[in-house]
Amino acid sequence: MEQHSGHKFESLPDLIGDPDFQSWVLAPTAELDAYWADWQRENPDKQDMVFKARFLLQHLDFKEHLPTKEQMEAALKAHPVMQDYGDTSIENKVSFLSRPVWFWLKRAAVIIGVLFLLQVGYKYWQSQQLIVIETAYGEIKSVYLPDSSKVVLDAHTKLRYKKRWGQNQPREVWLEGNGFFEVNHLNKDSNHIKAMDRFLVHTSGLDIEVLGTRFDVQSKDNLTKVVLQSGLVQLNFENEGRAPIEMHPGDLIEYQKDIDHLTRSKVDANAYISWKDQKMILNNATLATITDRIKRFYGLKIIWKDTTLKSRAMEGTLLMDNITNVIFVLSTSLNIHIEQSGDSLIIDKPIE
Amino acid sequence: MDQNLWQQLARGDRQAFASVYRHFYGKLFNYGRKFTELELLVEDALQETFVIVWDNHARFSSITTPDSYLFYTFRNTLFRKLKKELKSRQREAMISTEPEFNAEHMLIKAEMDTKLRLELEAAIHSLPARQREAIYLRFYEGLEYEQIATIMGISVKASYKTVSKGIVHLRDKFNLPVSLLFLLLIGD
Repeated sequence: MEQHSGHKFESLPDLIGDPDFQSWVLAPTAELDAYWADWQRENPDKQDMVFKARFLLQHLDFKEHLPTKEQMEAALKAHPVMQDYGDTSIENKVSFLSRPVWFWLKRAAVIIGVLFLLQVGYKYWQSQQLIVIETAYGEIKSVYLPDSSKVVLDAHTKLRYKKRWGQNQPREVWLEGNGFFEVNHLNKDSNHIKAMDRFLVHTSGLDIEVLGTRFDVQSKDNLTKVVLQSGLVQLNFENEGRAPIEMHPGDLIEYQKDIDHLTRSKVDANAYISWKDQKMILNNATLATITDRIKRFYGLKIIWKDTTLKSRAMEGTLLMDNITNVIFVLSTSLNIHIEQSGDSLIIDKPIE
Repeated sequence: MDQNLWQQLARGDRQAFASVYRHFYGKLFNYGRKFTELELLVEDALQETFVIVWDNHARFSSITTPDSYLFYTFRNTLFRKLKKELKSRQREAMISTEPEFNAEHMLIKAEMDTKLRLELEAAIHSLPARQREAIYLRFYEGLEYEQIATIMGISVKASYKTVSKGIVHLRDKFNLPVSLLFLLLIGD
C-alpha cells in the first residue's frame, strides 16, 4: 500500500470502489487501521463519508442456497467421469479408427456379437432414462405420464419418472413440491393385482400407493401432505416402524418425517386442489393462509406492517392467475393496503 | 484447497477430479441459484461444466487462475441453458436476453426499522443485475477484480466501476444521519 497523500477520494464511489478501503472494512489489519486512521485525521470533512461507506460494505449479505452433502455426493457419483463408461480420452479414439480393414474382418464375428449386445444394452439404458420436469415460480404445468395418467404440477415443483414403463413393474414417479394426480385405473380383477396395476408416488418420508384415483400431494423437505379426492390410497412410510395407512376420500394426512409425527383430518378436498385451476377456494380462510399460498406460488416475500391482519378471513373464490388482480381483490374485499415492492408484498392497514 | 490438486488433475487423476468437484460444487450451485430457481437446470449446468473441466484437464498444468476458469465456464454453460429454457417457456414477464442475478437474494443484514429496510431493499431491486452479481463475487466469494473481470467477461477497469457504481447506487437511496450510523456501527 502506497503513501496516503497519493490517495484522493473525492466522493463515496471512489472510497467504496477502492480495494484497500474494502480490505480495511472486510479484513482489517493493524497496518490498514493505522493507514485509515491517519487518512481520516488528514480529511476530517470526509468522516461522514467513511461511516456511510463502511456501513454499506459491512451490512451487505446474500441468501445462501447450498446443496446438501447427500445431493453433492449423488451428483458426483452420477457424473460421467466417475462412471465406468470406457476411456474418455480423444487420442485413443482417433488411433482406433485408423486401423486397417483386415484388422476388422478378423474380428467380425465378435463385433457383430458386441453390437447386438450394445443394442440390447442401449434399449435397456433408454428405458432407465429419467424424465425430469421442473416448474418455475408462477408456472403450473400439466404432464401426461407414459400410462396416460395426468399430473398437474404446481409452481417450483420437480417430478421425475422413467421414460419407459415396463409391464412387470409398478408405475412410479418421484415428487418434490406440489402435484395433483389423476391416475388411470388399469386393474381388471381385484383378486389379481399385476405389478403394473400399482402406481407409486415417492415423496419425502413416505410413498403413496394407488390403483387408480385422484389425489393431491404436497412434499417439501421433511413435510408431506396428502389429500384424497376420490378412490383409495395406501401410504407406506419410510420409517418401517410405522404401519401403512389407508386413506379415504376427504382425508388429509400430514406427516413430518424428521420427528415421525402424523396428523389426520377430514377436509373439503376441493378447497385443497383448487390451485390447479389457478384459483383458491376459500372457506373462511385467513389472510395468513392466503398469503402462504401467494408465497409458495409466486415466490414472493410477505412483510406484515400490522400483524393483526393475519387473522382476517375471507370467503369465496380467488383467481390466482395474475398477482395484480390478486392484490386488487384482497385489498378491496378486506379493506387493507397491499403494495408490491420488488419481490415483496407489504400488507398494512388502509392508508388514511 | 491444495494447489497440487490442480497439477494432479492435469495429469488425469480421477481422485483429484473428485476433490475439485467436491470443493467447488456448493459454491457454484450457490452462485448459479442466484440467476434462477430452476435447480435441476443449475445441476445440469454443473455436470456439464465438470465434463468440460475433465475434457480439458491437461490445461490445468498451465492455467494461473483455475478458480476463475471454473466460474467462467459454469456461468457460460448456465446462461446458455437458461436462455434456451426461458425461450421455450415463453414467459412474457421480464424476459431479458441475458440471465440476471435475482434481487431477492441480496439482503441487508442489520437491525433497523421497517421503513429504512424497505428503502434499502427497493434500492437493491433498482440496482442493475450486473452490479449485484459483481458485488456478490467480490464480497461473498472474495474474488479479486481481475477474476471478476474474467468471469463476467468485462475489463478489469469495468469490474472496479461496476462494483463501486453498485454500492453508490445503494447509498444514494438513503441518507442516514451520522449519529444513527455511529450507533449502528457500535452495535456491530
